[in-house]
Amino acid sequence: MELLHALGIDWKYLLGQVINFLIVLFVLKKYAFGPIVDTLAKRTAKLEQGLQDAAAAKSARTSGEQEKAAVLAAARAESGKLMQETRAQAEEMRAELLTKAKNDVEDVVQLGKERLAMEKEQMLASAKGELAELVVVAIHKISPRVFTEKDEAALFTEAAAVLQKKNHL
Amino acid sequence: MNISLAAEPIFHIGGFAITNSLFVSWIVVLVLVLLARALAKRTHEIPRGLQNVAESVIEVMLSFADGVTGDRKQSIRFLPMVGAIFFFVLVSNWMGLLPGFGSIGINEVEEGKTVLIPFFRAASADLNFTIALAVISVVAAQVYGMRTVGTFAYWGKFFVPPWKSPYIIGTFVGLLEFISEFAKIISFSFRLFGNVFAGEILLAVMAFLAPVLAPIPFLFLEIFVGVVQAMVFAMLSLVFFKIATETHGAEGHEKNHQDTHHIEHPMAVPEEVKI
Repeated sequence: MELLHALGIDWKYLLGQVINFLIVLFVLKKYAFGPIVDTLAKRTAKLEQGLQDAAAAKSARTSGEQEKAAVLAAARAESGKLMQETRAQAEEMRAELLTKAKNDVEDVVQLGKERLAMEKEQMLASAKGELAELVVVAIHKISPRVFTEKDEAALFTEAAAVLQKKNHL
Repeated sequence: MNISLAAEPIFHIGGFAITNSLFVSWIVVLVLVLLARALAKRTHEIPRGLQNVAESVIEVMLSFADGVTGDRKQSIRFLPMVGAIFFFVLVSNWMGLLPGFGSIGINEVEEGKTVLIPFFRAASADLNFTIALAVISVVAAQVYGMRTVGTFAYWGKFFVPPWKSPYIIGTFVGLLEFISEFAKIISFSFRLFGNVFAGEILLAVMAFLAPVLAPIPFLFLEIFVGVVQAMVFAMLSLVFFKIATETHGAEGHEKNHQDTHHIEHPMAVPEEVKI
């Protein structure tokens, strides 16, 4: 007890100091440490969020660019394909048209030829008939003096036969 | 020159003698409360002025604490207690260096001699202050320990029955640990008191011998000692909190769950590596 007194230790002062400290603890916790730790934590969270957002935006941008490039490439390929197809189709159509035209022309020529041949034949036939008649008339005019009626008839048939033969040839 | 180990009463409130160091302690409390209020009034998302300083100080304290606890969550848990101890001690120490402390007072006649009773005495140059803080620190460590590992498990650390694993040795070590809890109070309080009180005497002697320039280097020394002692008090408290909240997982499992011990053990290894 004597020592405690010499050192000035007194439970009343001790208690007073404990209360002082508790006041300091309470006030610092409420007004300083609590809010500041909160602010720091919030700021850290915010910064992290910001960084994350930035990274996400960046990746979105790159993926967007990639997508754009992919779409462009696809479109280009598609258009190239289309062009090629169209060209091929046109080529095909042209070839078709050409062959058709050629065929048509050939047909027309053939038809003309046939018609010409037919006409020629007809003309030839009619000319032969006329010629035979002329021959007959001529013979008829000459014949009373040279040929008997019997000769005439024989001549006719002969001539007709020759003509017939020729015509067949 | 008069040197008194005990703080001297300077006035009375309703029969209760107020000592000079208790009075200064109130001033310290007032200063801290005003600072905290000023800080609370100006908390912004983007820090400026005082908030900037407070934030960087707290950041440094937290990273210091991380070095001890190895866990930011635990650092934040202990921060108010450790920080309050630090600032209370720091402001008390530094306030004792202000001019007028120990030198302004009234002359009283004691046992035929005239002695100066100073109005101001550093709060930490009074054993009542340092013992109070030491008791708070030790009690807080027990409370943290009980809250973390459970009341029964916590006290089981001190009172080991002699029929369990290390037998009598365990019992003895537990008792030693229990005594060391009380020894902490003594070492905490006398370390701080001794440093601050000795500093006061040193400054008083220097001022007495050569009042003009001589005390200045010692003033700087005492400023440094003030920070170091505040830091030592706070850091030791933190270390004791950490030790008290440490779960001796392996020991407990050995006794209670023999089979889960092997599963739990690998988890315990990195914990120990961290420290």
